[in-house]
Amino acid sequence: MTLLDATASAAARRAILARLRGAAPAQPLPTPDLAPFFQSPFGRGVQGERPAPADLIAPFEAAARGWRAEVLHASPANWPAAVQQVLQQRGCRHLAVGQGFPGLHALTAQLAPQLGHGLTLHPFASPLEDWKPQLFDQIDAGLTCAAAGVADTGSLVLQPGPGEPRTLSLVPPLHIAVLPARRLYASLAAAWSALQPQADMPTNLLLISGPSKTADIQQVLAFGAHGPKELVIVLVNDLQNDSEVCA
Amino acid sequence: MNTPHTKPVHEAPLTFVDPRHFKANTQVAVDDAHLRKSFRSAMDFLQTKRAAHFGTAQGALPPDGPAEVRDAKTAFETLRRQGEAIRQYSLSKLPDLLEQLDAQLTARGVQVHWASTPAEANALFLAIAQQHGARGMVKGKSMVSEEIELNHRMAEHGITCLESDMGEYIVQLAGERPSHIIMPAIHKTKQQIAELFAQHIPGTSYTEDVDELIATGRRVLRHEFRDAKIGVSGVNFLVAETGSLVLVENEGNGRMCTTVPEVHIAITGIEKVVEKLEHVLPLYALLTRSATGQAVTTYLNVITGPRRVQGEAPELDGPRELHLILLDNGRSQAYREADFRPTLQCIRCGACMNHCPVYARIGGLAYGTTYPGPIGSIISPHLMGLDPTQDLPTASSLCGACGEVCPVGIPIPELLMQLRHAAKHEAEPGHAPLAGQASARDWKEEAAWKTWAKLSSSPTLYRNFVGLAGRLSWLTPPWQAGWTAHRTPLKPASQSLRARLKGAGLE
Ligand code: SF4
Repeated sequence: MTLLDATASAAARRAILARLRGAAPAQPLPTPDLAPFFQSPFGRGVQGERPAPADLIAPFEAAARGWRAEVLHASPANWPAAVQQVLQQRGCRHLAVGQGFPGLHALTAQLAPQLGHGLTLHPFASPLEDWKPQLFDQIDAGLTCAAAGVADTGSLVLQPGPGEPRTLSLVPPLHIAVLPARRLYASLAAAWSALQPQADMPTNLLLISGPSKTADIQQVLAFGAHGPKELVIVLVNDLQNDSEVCA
Repeated sequence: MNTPHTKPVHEAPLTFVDPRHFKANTQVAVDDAHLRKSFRSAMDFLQTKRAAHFGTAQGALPPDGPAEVRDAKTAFETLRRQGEAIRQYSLSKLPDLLEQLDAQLTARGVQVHWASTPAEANALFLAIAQQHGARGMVKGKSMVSEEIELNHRMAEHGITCLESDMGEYIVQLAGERPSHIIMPAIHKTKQQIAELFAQHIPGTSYTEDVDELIATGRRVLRHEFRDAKIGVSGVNFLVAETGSLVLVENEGNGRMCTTVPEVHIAITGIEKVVEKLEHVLPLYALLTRSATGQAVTTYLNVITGPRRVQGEAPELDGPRELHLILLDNGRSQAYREADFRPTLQCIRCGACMNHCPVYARIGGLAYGTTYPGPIGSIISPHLMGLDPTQDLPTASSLCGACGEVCPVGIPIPELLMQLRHAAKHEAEPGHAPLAGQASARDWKEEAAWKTWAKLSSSPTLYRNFVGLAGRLSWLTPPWQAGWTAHRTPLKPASQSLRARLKGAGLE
């Protein structure tokens, strides 16, 4: 059995760095000024006034649909019913959700009549290894809450963590994401700068635009390559509310 | 232990992967009408997609052109300047950034390994696999793993590497190599793919329905993601300040490989690092638009460390172990000379090959290198030495399209010319030679040029020579080495231009 040879790696590290140091310019170039980027359409909403989320709903929806995501509108009161409808329409029987999902209580109440009668709610409560086969072979929908939405590109920003494992938005064939409208930003750059953590990065940060896709066979676009075949975004208009749905 | 879900993959022999056969390969490729059609239509498709964002590659922007075209060009220029500045800045601090990255990753529990050569990188893969008793790995798309021939080297030790990017999977089933860095199976028709699947995947019948073919690939590979102990991936960007690995993809196989297996091994070249997270933004905007004409990909995946188990609420998924292998493999040679350093600015978008008239006609396999097309011709000489790759920089009309579309402003045509020069001449005093420097040096050619220089510098000699050549022009052989293979023979005119002008009283 070969053991990981730390000395070989350390020697390579020394050699590579020595080669680079021997050639690197004495003075590095000045730090690039990204102002032109942030002032361009790509950086909409980073500097100056942030466009009102109310004005971003329509462009977000159009862009997300462009990536073949479905967008449903809901109110802070009826979003659980919207989720329920998505499940019913598709005949889903097994829904997985993170333990930290903020609306878990309201959702369970809404789904109560079906629970035990053809629908099972699976809280993601133990390590993936404990129920991998089930997650892969049985669960037909995963529910998450988005950390942000990007209007210009119709993208969702997800910040998976202990309360919302990353496989929820990856393994089940249907991914349902709840997005509170007040989390809409104009550009990816704007969402990014609003979300950028002060201290450490989370272990995983995702930008998701539509369901999984590929054009690897003769440039023909096909959906559901490896990730979800369908992405449904439940856009909750919480702009009149005091508190966030997914707080 | 894993149950195999497909027939075992037999890795194709590597013998045909040799840039020394480049000239012969081009002949075969040009004669293959199907191949040319596949590439032509694929290149047209990709060019159109890119043009929707950035305008076409042709010429300077017309001052009175339509507003959309002007806006597209302006958007491209703004972004490109930013992208170029970020890449140049990162390279100017490369050793510092790598050390910072190493420290940040290590602090987050990532095991960082360094490899000067492909052999060292493969030894690392092998050791990690053996440590975990793994007999297989599931792989996301990674050109650097192609560069080190990971699949073949692991197969020698009984370890199967299964490609999971749809295009890579198809190419692997066919026992071939990727012919494009973004769309690996671009040279294959759906009929060929249908046959491959029917032949190799148990329980699959022939179908040309693309959705069905993808569904088959999905079904097979899901089992692999579920059961594999080790997932392998490449990296698009590394962020030194935060210790993050950034992956860009559409399919989700990259997320699978980096999330589901217990162990994730990422491999990438040392040049991929940037300093700040925000530096990724302009580069990502350039990458997706230049590659496939998308404003964003389905997934942008920022990974910062393995699953965190400390604390009150432990994470429930993600790899328990995360390794990053940083590979040099000749990159430090490109770094050494300021003239060649821009080669390392590359973000591997593939736009240069999509717009290259040579690549479009011969396809990616003819190059016999991991990276084909213009980027391949400027990077391969550093990865493999100039000796086997000396013909690649000559495979260009220097039309400039590659430099025109490159999103990070790499002067590809200039680099091609410098490599041509390096292949023919010894290094200048004070400069270390490139591997294989002057390997294309030809004494006969040099002697011919020297004679020519002598002749042209003496009017008497020159006049005598021209007169003699004109009189003896009937002696010119109809067959002239490589020249007459595709062109009419060169023949001196019976009278020199000067003599004709004189005759016409125009001198
Ligand atoms: S050289 Fe430029 S155009 Fe070619 S792949 Fe690299 S970044 Fe893209």
